[in-house]
Amino acid sequence: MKAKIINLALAEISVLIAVSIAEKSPMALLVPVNLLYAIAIIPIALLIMNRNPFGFPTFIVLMALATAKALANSEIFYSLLDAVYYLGFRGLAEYVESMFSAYESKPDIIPLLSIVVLFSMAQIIWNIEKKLEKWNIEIGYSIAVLGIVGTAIILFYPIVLSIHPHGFPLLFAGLIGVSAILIGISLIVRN
Amino acid sequence: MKVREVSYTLISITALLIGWGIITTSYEIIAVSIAPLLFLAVPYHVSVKLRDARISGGEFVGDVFEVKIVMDASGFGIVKAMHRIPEHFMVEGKNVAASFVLGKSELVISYRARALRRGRYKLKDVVLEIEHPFLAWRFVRKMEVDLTLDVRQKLRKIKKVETLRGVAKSPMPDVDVAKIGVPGTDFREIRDYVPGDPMKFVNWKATARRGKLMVNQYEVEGKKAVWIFLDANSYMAFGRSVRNYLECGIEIANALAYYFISRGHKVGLYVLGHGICLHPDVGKRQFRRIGEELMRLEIGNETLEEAFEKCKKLLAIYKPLVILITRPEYSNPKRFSSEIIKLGIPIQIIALRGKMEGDEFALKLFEIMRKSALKGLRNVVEWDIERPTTKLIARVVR
Repeated sequence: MKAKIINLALAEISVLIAVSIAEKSPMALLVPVNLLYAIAIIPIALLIMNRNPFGFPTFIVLMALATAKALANSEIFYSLLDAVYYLGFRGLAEYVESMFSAYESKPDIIPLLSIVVLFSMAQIIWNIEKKLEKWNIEIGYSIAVLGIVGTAIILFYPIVLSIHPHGFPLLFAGLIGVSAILIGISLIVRN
Repeated sequence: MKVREVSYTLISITALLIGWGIITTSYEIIAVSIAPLLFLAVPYHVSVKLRDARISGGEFVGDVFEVKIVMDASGFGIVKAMHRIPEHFMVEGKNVAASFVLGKSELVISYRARALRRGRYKLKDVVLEIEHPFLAWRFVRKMEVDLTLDVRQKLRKIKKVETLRGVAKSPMPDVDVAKIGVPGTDFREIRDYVPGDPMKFVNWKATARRGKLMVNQYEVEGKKAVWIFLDANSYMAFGRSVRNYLECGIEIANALAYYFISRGHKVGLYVLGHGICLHPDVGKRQFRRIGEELMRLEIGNETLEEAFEKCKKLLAIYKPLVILITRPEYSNPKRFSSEIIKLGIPIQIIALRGKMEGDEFALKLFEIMRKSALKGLRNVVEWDIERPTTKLIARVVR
């Protein structure tokens, strides 16, 4: 039961973040802003239906709202619009293009990161609650550690992302390095 | 390595975001997709040390015993400890303990259980599962504790062993005397001297009369020996692990050993299958020895003929009452029985039988096999393994 309540809270916070991003994206032109807040009903409905209030369907809806702005920079998206234009729906293609081209700026990382981290936390809590109950372990310890780790990620991860030594993002350089080490170890073990 | 549910979920989130990031060609979304994996990278380590381990009670089958294992855990993570016990132990409570460790923590496994089968159990394994704080990873290791439990077969006291006086030459060991032992004061007869006879037994008057050395023969003290042959071949293991032919045989052997030893008889044991041979002897120490052997007994492989060859000389010396506990349809004791009788030794066969299930034809065939194995054998007591041995009445003849 604790997991449901916590996940509901995390879901509602994520809804607020996602809607606040959507207000400044082409979504605001398609759907009235007040109506976007109605999404907050989804987690409550899922709770009443005895399901995870912050499951994958809720996350996909929120990510669609939060990352709609990213479509404005997507070549794939514009190529799809070209296809629509070529197929004869010229008016529609021109209208959508005019909507999105006005928002050609990069999405903010921190709100996006917050939604992803909150969703990851919700999934972890949902998965571990029953197991810990079975083992007679208080879930509070894990939630506290999860809260600390989640906050640390939201605070420090953007800083790591902002570091670009030699013009290349530190994160990706690190990932490439770790992958290379792992591949190297596996090759040595095989031989 | 099996991927845990939490790891699978977090990797799925990452995969979903990477896919969406590629479609939207967004560096920001791809960068964010790494974030769920950071939860998996949280380091964890727990070290566990044994502080104390105790076990008390449970001397006999069905008795309750208590186990208490205290461990000190230190580090960061979730630790689960399980005391591994055999499947035929009935646990009251839980033989597991779990705790979230942050710094130092005490882990106590405390439970009560009953052993449903005799044996010497080394309960030394404690399985430790060290879990990631979010249950994303785990590693398993073992810790050894010094706990041993000896569970003996409960003694079913046989109140009376019935005799068939009409058939017996010398009815039963209760009133029979030993062939060998310390000579008493009751005079039996005068016989020829044989080298080794003590000079104090020479009857000088009879010697003078006959013109050759004659000695007085006295009744030897002590009662007749009883030798229990228990079959422990593989076919005896048929049935449930807690109640099968072997377990029933052990219970009967134990009860008979107690019955005869408590009445002053020498009792010996031969375990067919392992060639374990305990020479007939008297007293509580001998009963304990027999009990120890029965407690440790496992399945082996040996024929009755091989066993007879090994014991032939001793049988001729002791002339004991032989009690054979077996499944005659498999062991076929006819030859063994006739060889024993040839030595002038009485034999009693306890033929165990259990409930058989299966095809009607097969059951009939089995019954024919059994009857054929028993045909011609004397002094057979058929005994259902599900019946309590307290009601066992062995017919002993000589």
